[in-house]
Amino acid sequence: MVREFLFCSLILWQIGFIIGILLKLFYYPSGKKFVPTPVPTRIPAVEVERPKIKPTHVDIEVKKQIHTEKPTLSSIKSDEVIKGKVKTQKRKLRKLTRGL
Amino acid sequence: MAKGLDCGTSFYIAATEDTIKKQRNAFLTVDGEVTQVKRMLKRQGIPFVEKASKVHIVGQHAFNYAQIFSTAELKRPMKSGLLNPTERDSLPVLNAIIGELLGDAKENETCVYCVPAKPIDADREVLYHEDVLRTIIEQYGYDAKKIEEPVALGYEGLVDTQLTGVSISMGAGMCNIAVMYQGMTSLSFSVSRGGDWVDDNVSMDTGVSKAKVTYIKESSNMLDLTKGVYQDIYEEGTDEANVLIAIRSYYGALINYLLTNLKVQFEGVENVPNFPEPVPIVIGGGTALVKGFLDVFNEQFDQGEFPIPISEIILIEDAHVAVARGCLSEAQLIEEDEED
Repeated sequence: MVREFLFCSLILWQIGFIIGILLKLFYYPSGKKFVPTPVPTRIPAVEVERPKIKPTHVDIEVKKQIHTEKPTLSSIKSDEVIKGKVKTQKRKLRKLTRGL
Repeated sequence: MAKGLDCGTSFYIAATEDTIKKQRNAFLTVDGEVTQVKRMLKRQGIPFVEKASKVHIVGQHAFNYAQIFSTAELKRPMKSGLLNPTERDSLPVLNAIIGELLGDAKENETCVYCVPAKPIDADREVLYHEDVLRTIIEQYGYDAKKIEEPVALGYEGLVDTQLTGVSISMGAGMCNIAVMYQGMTSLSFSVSRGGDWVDDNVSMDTGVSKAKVTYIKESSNMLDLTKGVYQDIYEEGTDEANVLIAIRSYYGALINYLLTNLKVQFEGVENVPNFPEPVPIVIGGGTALVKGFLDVFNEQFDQGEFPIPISEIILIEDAHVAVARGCLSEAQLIEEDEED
């Protein structure tokens, strides 16, 4: 068994040795050069100054939430009360503003 | 029922077709234990407002109290025609005043309230003031509409000239001016000087408290700014005469300031109408109530310098409530429009 192992090992060593000699004698490099594949380089973006447009103001309607406090208790009475027909210019005003 | 509300620095005035109600826009905070103070005020029939454990006497009573006790600080919910930014308790007081003057609305009632025109000598907008007033009025159920104060005055005083002319509302906090042509407002602005400015300066120059100056101005039988009359008083050399002389002096300065600014504003505005015919100046407001006011106004007015030909200078009838009446007319017309 040991003798067979040594015999196979010897044969494999001989085969390797012979291949090495043959390569040394007959193999020459082809002279072709390896050219690296060109990788596209990334050009950084250039910031362009945009023309400045002066923004005009925009009116917005705001829903205002105003909190007005009611008093807890009030006993106010008007300082002065004048009873009687209050004379106004309503009729003339109606003619002037409503044309009636 | 339509209602008009003049929201002035010194007085709030409400007008309906059969009633006018006035409320002095001032209050005084009473120190002491709340329950006890309330009991005392109720017993004496003094109107008050309670909010956040503070009791405030409101209106004429507060004003009278401040005359008697010089240490009592009279507070004002409004200053220079707008809400007083330094007075934290003003909103509940205003709320109570408006509530008392207007009452709760019945169905679809319109309330037209006046707002000042934009001031030219103060860095303040009127928008917040407008919004607060509208919110309070709407809380009582009204359909609230605003109108510029001098326009409301024009609606009362310029109807006989086809709403063409100059209307000047002279209030305590500010003076409002509108130049109107055929019902259109071609120029309107306000200046932050009015009756209070006169009182402040008179008080500083004479050493009399501001509250007392206001009291003399509003109630003194001696107060007559007509030239001959005031000269007679001056010869008497009394303390009150000094106050009266100072009042006349500052009235002159106020009117001069007003007319000069009107001229500058008129000349600086594009598209102002040409007035081929002379137009009237109509004046209203509490500050114009003092006897002899027109005499001082005419003294300061110079047609040669004034950019508009003026036919006459008129103090409107019942000048104190004229703005409220103008607001009422507009409210009534709005209601009629809606009914149609």
